[in-house]
Parts: sequence; structure tokens; C-alpha cells
Amino acid sequence: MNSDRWFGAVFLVFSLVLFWSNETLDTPAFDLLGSKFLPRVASLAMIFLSILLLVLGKGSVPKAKEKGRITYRPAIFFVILTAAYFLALEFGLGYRGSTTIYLTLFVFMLSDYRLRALPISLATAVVSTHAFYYFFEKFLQLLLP
Amino acid sequence: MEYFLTAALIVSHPMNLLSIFVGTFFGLVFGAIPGLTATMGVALLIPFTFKMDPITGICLLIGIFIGGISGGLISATLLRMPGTPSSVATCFDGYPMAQKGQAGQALGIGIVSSFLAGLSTAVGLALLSPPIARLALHLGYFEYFSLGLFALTIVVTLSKGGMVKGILCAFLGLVISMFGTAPIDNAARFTFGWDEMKAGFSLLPVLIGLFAVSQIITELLKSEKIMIPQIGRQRILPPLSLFRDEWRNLIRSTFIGFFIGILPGIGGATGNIVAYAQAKSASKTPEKFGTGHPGGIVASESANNATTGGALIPLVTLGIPGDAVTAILIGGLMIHGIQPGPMLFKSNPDVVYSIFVATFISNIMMVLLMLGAIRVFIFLLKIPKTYLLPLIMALCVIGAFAMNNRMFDIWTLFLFGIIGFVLERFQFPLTPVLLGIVLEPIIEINLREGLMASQGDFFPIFTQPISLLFILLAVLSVLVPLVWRREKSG
Repeated sequence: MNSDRWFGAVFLVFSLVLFWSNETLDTPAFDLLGSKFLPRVASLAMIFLSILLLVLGKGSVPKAKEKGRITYRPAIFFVILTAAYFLALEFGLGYRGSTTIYLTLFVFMLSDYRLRALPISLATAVVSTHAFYYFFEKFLQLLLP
Repeated sequence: MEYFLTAALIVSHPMNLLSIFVGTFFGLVFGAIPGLTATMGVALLIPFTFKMDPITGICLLIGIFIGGISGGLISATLLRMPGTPSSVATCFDGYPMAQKGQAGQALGIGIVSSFLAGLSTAVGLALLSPPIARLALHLGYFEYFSLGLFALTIVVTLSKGGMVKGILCAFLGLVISMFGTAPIDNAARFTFGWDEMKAGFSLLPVLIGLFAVSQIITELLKSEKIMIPQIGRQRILPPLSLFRDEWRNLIRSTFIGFFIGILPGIGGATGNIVAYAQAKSASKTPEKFGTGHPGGIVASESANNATTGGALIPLVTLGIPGDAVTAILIGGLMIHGIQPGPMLFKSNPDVVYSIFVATFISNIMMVLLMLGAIRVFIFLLKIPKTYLLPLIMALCVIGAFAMNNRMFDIWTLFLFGIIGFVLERFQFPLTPVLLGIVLEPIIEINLREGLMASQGDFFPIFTQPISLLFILLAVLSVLVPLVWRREKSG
């Protein structure tokens, strides 16, 4: 199955869930169309288009893949690292602590995990985290996570 | 005229001038560095404006917009990597000129063309917007509904990756905007029993996720090493004789860019290609295009900067974005409690005219910065991604959280970053998603309120002339490309 058909299948499941969610919604009859009308139209249209993609999809090759030099490892590491960072923020580990660790690891990853780069990664993380903290929280008085 | 003078006085306040300067500078940086775009720049810097006076904030955003579109010239010429999609055609002749040792001249031609076109369209924006807004005041619910529909269809049909994918993405944008409390009756849609979802997805985290986080992930997959050609002490300012030869090209490309910018949903990315193609076909020496012809740079750079003035017209007069960047600008204005549209001319004329004046001044600052500090921007191309990407990600998190101070927005950023990356990787266009998100309230509220006003009668959609015109244009914008494609394949 090519990529377009995979996407067709994912969009189909997504739009069926939306359609079901919309149909089970109990809404007040305030105006002629109500709040269910446009979501119904949109989810039905998405169901139709997903089926079209599922049937006619020719597949798309990611641009970098065509050039034959792609590794998804940094992207996967980034997603895992970022999820861990957001969990740390969610569970109240504090902005400065978790951001410093996150940025250190991120810079370290982009430096091809060279141990020599670790002190620079840490220094960059500490300086930038504190610069952001003082600029946004103290100067602009914005709340940070 | 009175409004202009008032706006000029407001914008000439040192804080606002500084704001335009800083915005233009960072816009140029975002435009110049491949992988960072004007769209990303505006989305990322909106949180900086939260505590600013609305006009100071607008000045900053306009500066980033103008600078971001202009900065793409630098990397397109020196690296053959367009800093923004608006500079794709600049690579065709800018890079060959740089390879011949004429990088300075190529940059100079681009800078002056960008400036002349940007300034002319800033004047066009100021002249055309008030009468369009006066006309727009007569538009009713159904006209706005039809206009929203037309804007969406035109984006879909011109987006890359095929029409089915484009339409699917537009509907995806529409449903993303439907999550949470509905307008008029406050029904909670698509919440799946989750209280956090009742407020829906906030616009800013969605935009930053789609356009900044997804770009960071894309950049992580690239491993190109950048080699920057030296410009040394080369003369930057092009000779006047060049523009004597290229003035027709300059005017034609400026018009093309300006009118493409006015069309909802299409921006510099289309404008520079169309203008380049036109310049080539009108040239007496078309064979020289693509080998380092100054006319190619004039066409591309004047057209992409001309779209900035054009794209601001539907934004200020109708509240409809001219392209992806202006869609984010609308978000930025709404955060400051400013609802773009014809009523803005009545309720906040100072804001509207300040936008005009800021656009004008930003173009002047752009040319001064580019001519005076071009070596600084070239130096910035050397900043390693190793440090740049983590810092941008940290800014993304702050930007997503700052609006509502809720962790849900941080997860929204994460989710839409991944969605944006995956969609773009497999050639699903993101602009229709963005336009769907921005246009959904316009389409839904106007349709429902229109039907309430007409007591359930759908006919006014087809009997009111302006509404019918937009519906016909929407139908044509879907059918014409289909017929063209069939003729091409047949």
C-alpha cells in the first residue's frame, strides 16, 4: 500500500470518528442549521475524499528520500526528548531545570553525541534558559510553563 | 489625509520606529537563513507583542513580514537555497551570477527591485484599501459566506500536491477550527468528554506547531554543509543603466505580484514564479534567463515584495488573509483585540492607517538594513543549526504557553508540529489547513446568522449579486484547473 493510501485510511478513520462524535452530540435547536450542520458536512466530505485517496492514491515519495540520504533518527529522538520535556513541565519540574536539561540534550544530539560538545551544550543551555527566563518572565512579565 | 497624518505621527513615535526596525531586522534574519521562514518568524514573535501597545505590536509584525519576504534573496543568491518560498525564482539567476563572481551585484539588483516594488505596493495598499473597505461595508452575511468559500477554493486549487489532497487539507483545517465551543449556541463539539477541549485548539500553538515545530523536524533530517561565496568589497548598489533596461520588467512584475497578493490565499511563492515566467517570455533574450540574467532577479524579487502590499488588502478590508503569513498576522491582530475587516476603518482608523504607514517605513528600513548591513546577514547564514534549532524550539514553547498559560497548549504545539511535519513530508499542503482554520468562523457564523436573518431561506446566497459572483468564482476556480489538467493530459 503506497503512502497516499495509508493517508487515505488514516483520514477515513479520523473523519468517521468525527462524524460519529458529531452525530451523538446533543445540541440545542437555536437556529435553523445548528452547530451540527457544518461538522457533518465537513466530516462527510472528508470521508468521501479519504475514500478517493484510498482508491486513487499514487503515493508520494518524501523529497529527501529521492536523494537517497535520509535518516529519521534525529527526528525520532527529538520527538521522544520533546515529549519527555513536556511531561517534565506538566508534572511541575520547573521551567528552568527542565529547559536546561532539554536544551543540553538537544544541542548534544545535534553535535553528533560527541562528548567534547557536552560542556558547550550545557553552557549554551544554561545561558539561553536564563536569558529567556529573565527576558520573558521578569522583563515582559509573561508566565512561563 | 487626516488619518494618514495621525497615523504618521503615531508610527513615528521612537518606540514604534524601533519596533519596525527590530521587526524588519529579525524578518531579514528569518528570511535569509534557509529553514527559517517569514511565516515562522511572525508566528514565533507574536508572543513578544503581548505586552506591547497594539500599534507597537503591529509595527513589529509588519516589519517581520516585509523583512521576512525580502531576506529570502540572500540565501537564494548565495546558496541556491531560497530562504523563503517567495524567492525560489531568484535562485535561477541569482546563484549563477554569484558563481560568476557577481554576488554583490546580484544582491544589489534584488535589494533595489524589492524596495521599489515594496514601496509602490505600500502606496497601492493605502490607495485601494479605503474604497474596497467602503464597498465591503455593504456586504451582508451571505456575501461574506460566499467570499470565505471562494477564498478557500482558490487556495485549494492552486496548492501543490494535487487537488484531492488540497481539498482534504482545507477540510482538515475547517474541522480543527470546529473543536470546542460552537458559535451562536455554545454547543461543545468534538470534545470527547474532555473538559480541556471545550475551549478548542488555540490558534497560536496550532500555527507555531504547523509552521515552526514541523520545520525544525524537517531541518533535523538535512545534513547539507553550507559554503558561502565571498562578496568581499564588491559594489552592492547596481548601476542605474540596469534599471533603464529593466524598467518594463520591474513594473510588470510589480503588478503581477501585487494582484496575485490580493487574491486570497496566494502569496509570494506563486507571484515570483509567475513574474519570472512572464519576464522570460517577454524578453528579447529568453535564452539568457537561468544563466545569470539580471532581469530574472528583478522579476522575482519585485514580484515577491509586491505581494506584501497586495496580501494586506484582503486582510485589512475583508478580514481575509492574502497568504499564510497574513493568516498568522490576523491571529496576531486578534490577540490584541483587533478584528480585521471593513469595520476596522470605522472603529480603529488609527490602526488601519498605521498598518499602511508601517508597511511604507518597513520597506525603507529594509533597503537601508540590506544595503548597510548585508555582510551581517551573510555572516548570520553561518550560525550552526546545532544552536539555532534548540533555541527556536525553546521560543516555540514560550510562545505556545504565553497566550493562555495552560499546558494543553504545549501539547497542542507538539501534536500539530508532528502533524505538520508528516503532512508536508508526504506532499499534503499546509496553506489550505491554515486557511481552513482561519476561514471556518467566517464561513460558519455568516451562514448561520444569514439564515437566521432570512428566516431559513437559502436563496439569497444565489440571488444576491455579489454572493452569486463569489459562488461562481469559487465554482470556476475548482473547474478551470480540472479542465486544464484534462487538456494537458489529453
